[in-house]
Amino acid sequence: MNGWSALDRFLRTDPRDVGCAGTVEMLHIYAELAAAGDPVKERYPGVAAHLRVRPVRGRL
Amino acid sequence: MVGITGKLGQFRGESRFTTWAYKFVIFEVSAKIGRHFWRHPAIPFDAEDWDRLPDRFGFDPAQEIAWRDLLTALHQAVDEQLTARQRRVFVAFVLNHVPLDTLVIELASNRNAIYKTLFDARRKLRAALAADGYMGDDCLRSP
Repeated sequence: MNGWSALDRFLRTDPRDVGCAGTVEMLHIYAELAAAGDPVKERYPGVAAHLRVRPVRGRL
Repeated sequence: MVGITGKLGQFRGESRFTTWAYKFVIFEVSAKIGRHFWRHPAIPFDAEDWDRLPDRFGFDPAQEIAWRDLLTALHQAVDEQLTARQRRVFVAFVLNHVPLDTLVIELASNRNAIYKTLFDARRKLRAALAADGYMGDDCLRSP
């Protein structure tokens, strides 16, 4: 990932993002469904949006 | 272990017990690292060395001529568009690599509130860069 794509990713916000609290609440369910091959990104788009955020060198 | 046993009443069988428990282990470790960083910061939370910014996003120093204007605009947007709290969180998180859990302690807040502060800052900065012509087709315009 070059600087442009990393910065672009950092600045990209998704209004569906459920935030930390919403993600923590669902994380164990999301993880198991994802491991089982369930289309979790479609089922839980708000959690997926939050987990997609890796703003700076994989942090947050 | 004590932390997990204290939460046993919250387990609703929606996943395997170990998956549910691991979640709290991960966050407990993260919080401990945050507390450690808060007690022993590598650099002051409010230090502002903007020369770090290119490296934080992985910009190639050899191509500085290509990204210098973009990062100058970003710095200007941080100064002019963000609230004092948003700016503080941006500087700590992006420039100084302060962990989220450390910011929670430093600002006497919680993960959700810090994340929301950064979320709003990111949205503002993207809008500012778009207004300055650095966006194309909904992506940052690279040379």
